[in-house]
Amino acid sequence: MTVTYIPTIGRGEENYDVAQIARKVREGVVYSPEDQVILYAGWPQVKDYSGRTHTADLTVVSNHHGVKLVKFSPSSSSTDLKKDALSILQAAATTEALLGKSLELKKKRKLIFDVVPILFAPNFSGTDIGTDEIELARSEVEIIRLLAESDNELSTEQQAEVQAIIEGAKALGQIGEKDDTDLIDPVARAFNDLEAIIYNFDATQRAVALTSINGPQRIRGLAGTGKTVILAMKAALAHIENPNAKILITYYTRSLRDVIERLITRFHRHFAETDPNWDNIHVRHGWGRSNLPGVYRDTCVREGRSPKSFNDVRGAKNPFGAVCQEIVQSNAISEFYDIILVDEGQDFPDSFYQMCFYLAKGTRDEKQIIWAYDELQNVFDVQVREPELLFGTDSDGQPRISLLRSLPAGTDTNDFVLQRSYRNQREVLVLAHSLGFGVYSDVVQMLENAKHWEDVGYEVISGTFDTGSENVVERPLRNSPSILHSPEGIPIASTRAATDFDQEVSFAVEEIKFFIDHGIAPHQIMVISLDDRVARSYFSRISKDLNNHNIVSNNIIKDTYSEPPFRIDGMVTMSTVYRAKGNEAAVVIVVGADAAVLRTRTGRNKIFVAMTRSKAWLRIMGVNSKTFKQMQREFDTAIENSPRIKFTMPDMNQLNTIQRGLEEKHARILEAKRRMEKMKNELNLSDDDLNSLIEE
Amino acid sequence: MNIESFNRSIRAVDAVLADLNLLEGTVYNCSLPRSMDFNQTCLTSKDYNEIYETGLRLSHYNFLLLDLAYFQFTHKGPTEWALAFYPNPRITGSIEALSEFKEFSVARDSGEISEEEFSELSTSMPINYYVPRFRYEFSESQFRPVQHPGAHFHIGMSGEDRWGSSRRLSPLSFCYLMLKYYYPEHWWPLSRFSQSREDWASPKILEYCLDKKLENSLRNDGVSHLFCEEERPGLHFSTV
Repeated sequence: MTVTYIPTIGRGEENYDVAQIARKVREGVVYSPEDQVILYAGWPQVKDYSGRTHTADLTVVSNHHGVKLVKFSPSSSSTDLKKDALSILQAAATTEALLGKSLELKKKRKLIFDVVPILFAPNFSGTDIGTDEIELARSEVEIIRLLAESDNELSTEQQAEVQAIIEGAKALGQIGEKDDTDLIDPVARAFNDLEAIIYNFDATQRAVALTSINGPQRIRGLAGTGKTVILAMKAALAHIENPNAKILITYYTRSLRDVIERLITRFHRHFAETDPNWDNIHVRHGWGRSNLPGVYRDTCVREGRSPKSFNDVRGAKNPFGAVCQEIVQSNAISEFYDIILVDEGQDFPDSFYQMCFYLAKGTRDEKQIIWAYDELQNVFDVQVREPELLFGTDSDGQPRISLLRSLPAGTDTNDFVLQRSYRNQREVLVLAHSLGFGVYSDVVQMLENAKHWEDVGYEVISGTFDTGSENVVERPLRNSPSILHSPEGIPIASTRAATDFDQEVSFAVEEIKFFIDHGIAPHQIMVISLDDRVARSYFSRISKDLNNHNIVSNNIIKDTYSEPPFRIDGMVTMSTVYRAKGNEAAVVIVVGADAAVLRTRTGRNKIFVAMTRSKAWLRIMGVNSKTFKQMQREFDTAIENSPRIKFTMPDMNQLNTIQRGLEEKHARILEAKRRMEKMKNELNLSDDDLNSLIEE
Repeated sequence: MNIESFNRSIRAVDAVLADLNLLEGTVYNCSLPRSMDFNQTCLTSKDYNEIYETGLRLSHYNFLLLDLAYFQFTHKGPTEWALAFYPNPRITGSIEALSEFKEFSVARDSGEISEEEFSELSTSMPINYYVPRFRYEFSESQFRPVQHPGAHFHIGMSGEDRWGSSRRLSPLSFCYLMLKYYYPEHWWPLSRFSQSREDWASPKILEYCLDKKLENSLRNDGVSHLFCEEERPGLHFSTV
């Protein structure tokens, strides 16, 4: 027998009687070995028309026993019991209504199994509580008997469907994009089929989203593993559980706000059928500006301090880190939030985490700070910064946050690793890792050991991972399950060299037009420029040429003032790598790849981020140069070896030293450029004057 | 003005802005479609910056200029169209603000500051509303003699001011007018009136003279058939 136990946010205070029943189910006292059982504590949570929340203390979903929802009532008064009975009845009725929307679970217009509400009232001595709509259990024996009552058998698919509906995965389904599949273009059909898989918010992800731990949690995973979705679901659930709780969900990249708000709204509507109250769920940029709220800015305003802008600390080595550190050291921060969810955790400085520590309510081990972290997306940081480093040391010399110390007894883990990446095609992800590390050229960064490769979803085929050793890792299909069946002749990933800028622009326009002509919506196409300096020229030219084909584009870098929606219906998105972070599209067209910097981690990471925005097709373009040729060679080798990556393990110490040196040199060159620019303006010199000066 | 002429005029604007190196980007080189989200803000807010930023955020414009001001040109029918100029309240009309913004852009493009830092700096520039919003409407359906001139300007945020015009204006003429008054540093070097008086009629100079182009464009647009006799004695926009 398999019992999957999911302790959710709604389970409230630990109750002895409920815990006993849960323990018996988990230990196999109730069900037989062939039963597949999912046991939820504190789930589902639903709202009625008047906005009241109704929760089951325990819910059992079994392939041979239907769905059973249990409410525990310690009262002996029939009035209280009736109230609890109506509450569990409401929870069951709403759950049944949600399940009833799935035709797979129906036969002759009825559900093929029962959804049974049970009131467990061990202190009740009477026989009637005034309603016969629910099952009444007055003892442990009775409740176990009721739980064990069998029902029609569910197939594996049907049980998965029940689980997905109860856990809210259906809230993510695509709306209104189903066309007649006979008439649809094969390219569009391939993408529609893929979307169905990508939106399958899987059981592992759902379990992480639903599981509630009274204390800090970390969620690690690569791009596309669903971290943002999980955080959004957690925020929505916490809001339903306690509409008065103050919830913060924060992010680093401005274009993420729109995505997060949409996700939270969808989950909230799914369970509560209303929109969330944004006064209590704060979706906030980390810093904030005069026209935009942000975690740092809000904190300053609440504490009566004048918030600093970037201009005030321009020139500091890490400007955001500096302002956060200042407010942390001022000891001015009061507790404000019941739950803090941090997305893109790898991008935030340590002092931001420390600010969050003080903003979160509760003792240090009970602070509900949940951060999502992608160790492969931060520029200088292949290693995960551990919580002890992120949050710093408390006044007693102990770490402020320790996942190990705060793990509640009886809880499996508070450190979740998501290995399955839905967003990217397997070959694109393997390609992005190969180029991101530089394994087929000069390695610029490397995961330290086999365990780390496994954490990011690879299997180790061979190798010791010692310096100089030959190693082979492979990405199994189970960890990249979104498979695109691209029509023949249309490769998933390809490169194309242009003779000059004009030709590259025309290649990009050609590709965009091809995909639109084959049924891909313009907003499912993203152009990313790897070359920041000429990004504007690329986008202007591409937009102009697209206009001649009546295709409109959304150039998100144009809006420097607010948090523009990353995706606007009917428009092709144009973005730099930086602004593309956290976002995705069916087709990604990378332009300016000849400007990629292959020697540094910064340069390689940009390539990685650009590539991993693609859900289906990836096109890489550049002007035919030495760099672009090298990239094409690496690309071809990576595709040839895919789904494997073969590499010689570098000396990590030496690698880090070289890279630090390169990054420092890069910083010095930038400084030199800045000074030269200043000197040029002061002395009224032209670029030619400077060039001749250098020549002299 | 039929839709073909209107769109042709929009494409001419595209070329003019590109020639003057003022064009930051084009979203629509044809009549702008309706945006419910933009209208929602535009019709309910009295806060210019909020309206301006909404248009910018939604990419709801035809052309964006280097200072992030934008033009909106909407054609609803042969006797119904609207032309609008949305200046950037932080920059448009101030040489100093523009030069500061350019300095940030150079720092961003050279890698000295990140995109995020660039946004931070440009947002921290003060909102000074150097230039008002300018709109021109041509509407037969709303025309009422004197009370609601068929062709009129709205200047600023009031919406109830209707500065009557005896002229029909195309997107191109409207663009020229905005450039002349709000981008003088681009306009005057290409105007014959910046030359010595004896050169004003020089064919060579007339060839590139922006004032001449404006004049031609206005002549080409013609008079408004909605302008009535009762409006003539009042102050109104006109030309020979």
